[in-house]
Amino acid sequence: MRMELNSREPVYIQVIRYFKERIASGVLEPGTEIPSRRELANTLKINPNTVQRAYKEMEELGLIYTEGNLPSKVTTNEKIIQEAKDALLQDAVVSFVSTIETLQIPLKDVIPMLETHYEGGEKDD
Amino acid sequence: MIEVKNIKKSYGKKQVLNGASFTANKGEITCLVGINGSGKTTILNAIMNLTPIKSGEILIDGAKLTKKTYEKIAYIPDTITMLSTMRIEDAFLFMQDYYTAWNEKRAKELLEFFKLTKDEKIQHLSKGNKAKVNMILGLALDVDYILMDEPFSGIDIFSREQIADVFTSHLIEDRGVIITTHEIQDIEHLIDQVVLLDNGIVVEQFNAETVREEEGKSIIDVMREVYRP
Amino acid sequence: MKSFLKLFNFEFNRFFKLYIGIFVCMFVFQIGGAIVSSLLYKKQINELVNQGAGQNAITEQMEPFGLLDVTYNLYFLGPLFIGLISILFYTFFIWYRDWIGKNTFVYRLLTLPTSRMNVFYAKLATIFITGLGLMAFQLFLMAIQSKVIAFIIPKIYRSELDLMSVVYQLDITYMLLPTDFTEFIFYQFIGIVVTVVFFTSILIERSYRIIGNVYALLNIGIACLIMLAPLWSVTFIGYNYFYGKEVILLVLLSSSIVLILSLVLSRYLINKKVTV
Repeated sequence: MRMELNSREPVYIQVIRYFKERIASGVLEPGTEIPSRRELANTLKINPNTVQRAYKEMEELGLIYTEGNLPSKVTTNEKIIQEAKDALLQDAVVSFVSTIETLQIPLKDVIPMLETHYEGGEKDD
Repeated sequence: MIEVKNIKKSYGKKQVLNGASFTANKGEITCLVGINGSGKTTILNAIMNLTPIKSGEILIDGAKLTKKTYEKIAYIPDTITMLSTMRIEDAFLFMQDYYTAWNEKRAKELLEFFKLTKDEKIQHLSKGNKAKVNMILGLALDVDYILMDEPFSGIDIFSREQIADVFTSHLIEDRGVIITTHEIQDIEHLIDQVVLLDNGIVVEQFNAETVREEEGKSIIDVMREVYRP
Repeated sequence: MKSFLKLFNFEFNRFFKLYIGIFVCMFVFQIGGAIVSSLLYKKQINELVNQGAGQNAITEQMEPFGLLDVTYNLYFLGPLFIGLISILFYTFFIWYRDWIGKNTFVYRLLTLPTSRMNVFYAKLATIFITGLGLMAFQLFLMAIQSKVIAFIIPKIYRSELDLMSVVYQLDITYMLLPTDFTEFIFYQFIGIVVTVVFFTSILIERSYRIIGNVYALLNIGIACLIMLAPLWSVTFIGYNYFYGKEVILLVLLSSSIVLILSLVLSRYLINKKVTV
């Protein structure tokens, strides 16, 4: 587990995003146990209090859940996972569009290129 | 909570502390940042009553320091505080002898973590390993607060990484830590509170996450503003 | 009390190697000296015997040989002085070794969860006990020297002074080992007071550093003035106003005052003023 930290963004937000991406993409399957607060702090070399805060927010967002004293697990709620996917897509599209907008390229020119890239996404950059 | 209230100190005519104030909470890592000679070490010494202050007050959990306080606050200065002729196990025995807070099991655990053996003589250790033994002497005390003076300075990168690992482990959990440094990079994401010192006063105290969240600034950004106006 | 004993044991062990070194040096030189001197004396006698001199002629010609002949010698007084000077030197070093150079052991000593005065008393006890031990060892060595002489020199050529009379005749040993018990206690007490005054001066210097040196010397000066106050009458009146016994009692009193003041000052300094 590795993560490039941006020192200008709250670390807890970066942790949440990190989990969101993995949950949305299915790398972390529904119901998987996530590392304890200390384990994660140790692997990412970040403050345990920060991890605590990230976990608390994720719990509130329904991304993870905890039963009793057991380790926290990834949500099994499909709706929440879908929402996370949508939210990430939304973010990506917004940032994509804002880049494209400055270049003043009409949408109809963008779509074919988008399609080619999407299909050959793996080899192309 | 450790409260440092408006402390002043001078060596001869040179004012070292000019009314420095800050607080450090239990369960948090507070980092004193400042260039060399900005009074960081003097503050730690003053908290431990190892140097007198001219005025001001230092409270630990609301009370002034007494001899019993040394069972709940540990100090790790930047050089080892044991006789160099001792072997590591002699040093442990010494600690065991005087401190009821000494946790031998944890000391052994730390020794293993740092890959050191107990029959090594302190004077034969490398600088990095000496620093590690010094850390163990403080960390193996079951205390509420730990003060560390420049734990990363002058030691090799791998020792530095190992020492940084300590901060995210159960060894620090729930304790209050005050650490001084003049290089923040190593521990930027490890610390909760930042206290910026300049000319013997605290120019700013802030929570690292709050500054990132509310102002979109890194610790270094804030330092740049403060130290290079 | 438990902390004090532990600290005392610790401080004593730190001095042990050097201390044993002093003992070995004293043993080698003093016993070796006694053997060599005795053998030389015996050789002279043998020469006289070989020349055909009778016993009476020899005892007339040669002074009888005894412990006193051994003690008035460089090989005896030298090691003893070295021992005494080492302990005096260690009175200072016992503090400074925790500060100077790379040693930051003072950080540990001052942050032990026990009264800092225990550190002070432990160091004081170390100096006192090692000093006392040195004297006891000297006495023991003199007893051995007696045996050595008795072994080498035939009885007829020996001066039969017992150990205590020799101690009594030698200024240095008499100061250290008065045959009178009250006097012994008196000297020991003065020794402790002097050590405490030195310790206080060291703490003054460790608290105020450069200017502290001046204060420290001042402290020693004032302590001397108070301790010796009963002897002033000699200076001012020109003759001793008090009887000998009275002077001793008064010195005891003035020394007690110095002791108490020094301890109070030391407690204040070590708790509030000393700096690492």
